[in-house]
Amino acid sequence: MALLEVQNLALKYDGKTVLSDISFTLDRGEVKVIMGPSGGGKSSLLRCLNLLERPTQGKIFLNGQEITAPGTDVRSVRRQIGFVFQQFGLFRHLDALHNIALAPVKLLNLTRRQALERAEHELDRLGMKEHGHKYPAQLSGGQQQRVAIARVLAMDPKLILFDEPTSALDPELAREVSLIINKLYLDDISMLCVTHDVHFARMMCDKILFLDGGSILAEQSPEALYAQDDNERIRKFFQVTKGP
Amino acid sequence: MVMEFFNILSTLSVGVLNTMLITLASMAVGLAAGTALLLANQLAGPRGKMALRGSIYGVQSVPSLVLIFMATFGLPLIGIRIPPMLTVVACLGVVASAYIFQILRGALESLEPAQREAGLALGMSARQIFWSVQMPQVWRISTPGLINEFTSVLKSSPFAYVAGVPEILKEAQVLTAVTSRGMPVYAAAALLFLALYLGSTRLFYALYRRHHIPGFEET
Repeated sequence: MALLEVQNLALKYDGKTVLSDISFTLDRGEVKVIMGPSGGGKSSLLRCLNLLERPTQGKIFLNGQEITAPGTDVRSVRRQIGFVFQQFGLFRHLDALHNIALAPVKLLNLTRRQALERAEHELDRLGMKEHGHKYPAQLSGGQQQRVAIARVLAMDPKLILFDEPTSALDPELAREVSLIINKLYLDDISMLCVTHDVHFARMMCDKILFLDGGSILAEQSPEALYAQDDNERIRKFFQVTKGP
Repeated sequence: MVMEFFNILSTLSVGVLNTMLITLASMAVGLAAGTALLLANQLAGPRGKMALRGSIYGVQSVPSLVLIFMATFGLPLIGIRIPPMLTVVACLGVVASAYIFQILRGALESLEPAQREAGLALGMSARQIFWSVQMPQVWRISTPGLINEFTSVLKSSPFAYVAGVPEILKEAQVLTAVTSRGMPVYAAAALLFLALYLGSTRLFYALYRRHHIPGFEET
């Protein structure tokens, strides 16, 4: 049984179709990257998966349980699915350790001490041990994103969704975050990642979902997708990154 | 002459305690009610929001003096008697809550939406996010505005004389009636308000700086 299964998902806003007929699966330990032009529905798809957005149609299964069913405990679903934002979303009044410890204290009933220990462990894992007492404003963008990732890891999620985690960072900081995500890949954490970074995708994912106009145009390995010639839209998209 | 002025000051300072009591109690009511309104506004649907905002604009448009007159002279006519101090605090507190709501709302809306979304994505409820993520920041961002509102309530506190509460102005009126020396008496009253104003704002800003967190604007 797949960890995540999406069946015929559709999303409409005021009659405008954002996503249509999206179906795919993700196995445990698998990593898939979602690529495609801006406005193609990539972020909307991720937001549907942890129910930040309510799909208009279709079903999503997590571990075989339908999370789009009426009466589903939305917050319990979100607890199992980590979400890393492009803009980090760190709580600006808390230092790195307390940013990470807040949700485990509130939601997993850990004591403050236990949660802080866990936070320290996650920071250490991402090479941020010495920055635990710094506030978001005192951290670089790359460091902030690492804290955001540690915050997600501290909830011990079954799956992590990344929404362009490196887009707000300069190339050097982006590489720093990419390496962290690659490390998680090696740790067998299931991930879905929206990115524009072709090299990053090649380095870490098993399959790429190419999304344009709200539909999946292709699902292939990076090599096959970059090299393919059948679909004009996809060929043109990657031509830009490959150069003429 | 100087001695006389000090005598006036010491006579009036009897009212200082009541002035401070009125101001602090009204602010406490205003803060509690303003925060409750903010939470209600956050959790309400579009219609609830409209109703809430409408009544808040209503309260903001009524001068506090009118409200105190209504409560002091209107309510007894329909058989409701409330102690004068309570009447004044309730009226000033209600008016303050409307302004405080607006101050807090501005601060809340200035927070980046990604923080709320991150909280939701972690599985937190809107209420948990409100108290643990948004309000601690809203307090810090609104502090200058709240201090401003405090001074505005302080300067509305003399309206308490309408209800017969012996605060600074009431004492000054009595003293003027006895001595027929309005100028030094009211000058002394003004001086007391200046002292209260400076003392309390200094204290608040000192507390504000003490609890400063990097990333929030310095005053």
